[in-house]
Amino acid sequence: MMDSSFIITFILKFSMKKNTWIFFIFFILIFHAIVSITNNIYSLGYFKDIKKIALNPVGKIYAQIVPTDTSYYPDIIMYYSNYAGIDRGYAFYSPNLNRNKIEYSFTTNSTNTPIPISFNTKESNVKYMSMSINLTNMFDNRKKRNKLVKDISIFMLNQNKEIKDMNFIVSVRRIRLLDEKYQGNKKSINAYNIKKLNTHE
Amino acid sequence: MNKIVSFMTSYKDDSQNTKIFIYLISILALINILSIFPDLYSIYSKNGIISESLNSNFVSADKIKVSTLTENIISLTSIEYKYAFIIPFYLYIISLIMILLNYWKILFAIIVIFLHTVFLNSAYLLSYGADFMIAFLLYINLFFCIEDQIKVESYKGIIFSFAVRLMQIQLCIIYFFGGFGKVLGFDWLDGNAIWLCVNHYLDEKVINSFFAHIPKFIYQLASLHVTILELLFPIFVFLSKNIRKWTVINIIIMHIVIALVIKIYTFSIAMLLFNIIAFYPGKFSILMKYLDEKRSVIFKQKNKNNEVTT
Repeated sequence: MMDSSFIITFILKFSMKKNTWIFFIFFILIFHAIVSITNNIYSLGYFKDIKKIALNPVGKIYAQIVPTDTSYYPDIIMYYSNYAGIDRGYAFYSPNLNRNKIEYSFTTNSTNTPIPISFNTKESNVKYMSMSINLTNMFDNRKKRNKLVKDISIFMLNQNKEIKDMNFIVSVRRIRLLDEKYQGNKKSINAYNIKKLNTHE
Repeated sequence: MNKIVSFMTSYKDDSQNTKIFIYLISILALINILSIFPDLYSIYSKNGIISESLNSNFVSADKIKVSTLTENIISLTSIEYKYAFIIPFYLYIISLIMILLNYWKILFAIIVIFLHTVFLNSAYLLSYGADFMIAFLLYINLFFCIEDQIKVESYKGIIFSFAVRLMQIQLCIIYFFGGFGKVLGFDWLDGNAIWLCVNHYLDEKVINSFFAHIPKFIYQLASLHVTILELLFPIFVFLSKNIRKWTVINIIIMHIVIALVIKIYTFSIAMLLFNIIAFYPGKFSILMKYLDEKRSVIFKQKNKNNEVTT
C-alpha cells in the first residue's frame, strides 16, 4: 500500500536528532496547553458584559479580574486554536442554568398552526436544539435575536412555499427550584408569559 | 532534559494501538458527518437556516468557510452552486475513507482537519460540544497517522506518547474549566443545577412521573459530585493509579447519563473515546487481542466439527 512513510523517514533521519525531535514536540505540548488555558480564561470574559448573571463572591472577584480584550491576540494563536478545535471554552452549563424554559414555535398567521422545523436526522435536530440554547442566551440582545428569528423564518418560508407569512411564538415557563418544589408546589413548570413576534416583512 | 524525555516517551505503543485509534477516530468522524448528511444543505448552504451575515457576527471574516470554498470552486469550474457546495463534504468523506484504507493517511488527515474546521466556521450557532471534541480528536489523529508512518525504530513511540500526553492535558483543561465555571455561580453549589437540567431537556410528563419523586438530597449530591469531580480532575488522575481508575469510571458514568438524559449521543461517545484513549491507551489492544483469541478458538472449533462430519 502506498504511504507517506518515506517523507517522515527522510525528515527524521536527515534533519533531526532524537533529542531535538523530543524537544520540538515538547514545545508543541507546552504551546498547546498555554493556548488552551488562555482561551478558557478569556471565554469566561462574558461575565463582565451580562449584569444579570448571578455570581457568588468568588465569581464576582473573577469577573473583576478576567481579561476580555483579545485584540492583541497573535494571529498564530487564533489559527492554531481554530484548527486544533480548542477555540471555544468548556464551561458548559455555567455558572448557573436558566430558570426559564424557553420554547419556540413558528405558526402560520392565518390558521395559527405550528410549522415543524424540517430536519431529517436526529443529529441535525441536536444541532437545532443547541441553536435554540444559543437563541435563549442571546435573548436579551434584541438585534441578534431578531436577526436569528428572521433567518429561521426565511428558511421555513423557503421550505413551505404555500405559506406567505408566519408568527414566531416564544413560550417562557419558569422552572421551580428544588426548595419551591419541596414546599408543596405540585406543578413542575408554571407558564407565565407568551410573546408573539410577527416575522413577516 | 532527561525528565522531559522520560515524560514524553513514557507511553509505549504496542503497534496495535495507533492503528486502532486511527480507525476509531476516523469512524467517529465518518458517522458524525453521515448522521447529518441529508441536512447538509439546510445547515451549511447560503440558503440554510442561518445566514452568512448572522454567522459573521460570531466568526471573523478571515476564517475560511464553506461559502469561501464554494465560490472558489464555482469560479474555477463554472459548475452549479448545488454541485460546488457538496464537493467539500464528499472530499471530507473520501479523505476519511482513505485514512481507513491506509492510503496517504497523513495528507488526508490534514485535509480532514482543514475541512472539519471549515464546517465549524460555517455554522457557529449550530455547532456544539461534539463538533469541537471531534475537531480535537481529528487533530490528535494526525499525530497517530504520523506515528503509524514512522519506520525508524529509534524514533518509534515518541509521537504516540506525545499524543496521549496531549490528550491528557487537554482533558484536564476541559474538566477543570468545566468545574471552574460551575463554582462561580450558585446552582451547582446549592444543588439546583441537575434538577434544572432535567427540566430543560425532558418532557413534563416524564419529570412528574419519575424525576419529581427523587429526594432533594440526591440532586444536591449529584450537582456537587459533578462540580468536584470536574474541578479536581487534573489532580485526581495524577494522584495514584486507583484514584485515576475511579475518576475515569465516574467520568464515564457521567457521560453515559448525559447521553441517556440529554440525548447527545455523539458528544458522549466522543468523550468516552477521548477519556479511554488518554488514560487507558492499552485497553483497546487488550480488547482486540481478546477478540482475536475468541475468533481463533471459534475458528478452530468449526474446523474440528467439519473434520468430524467429513
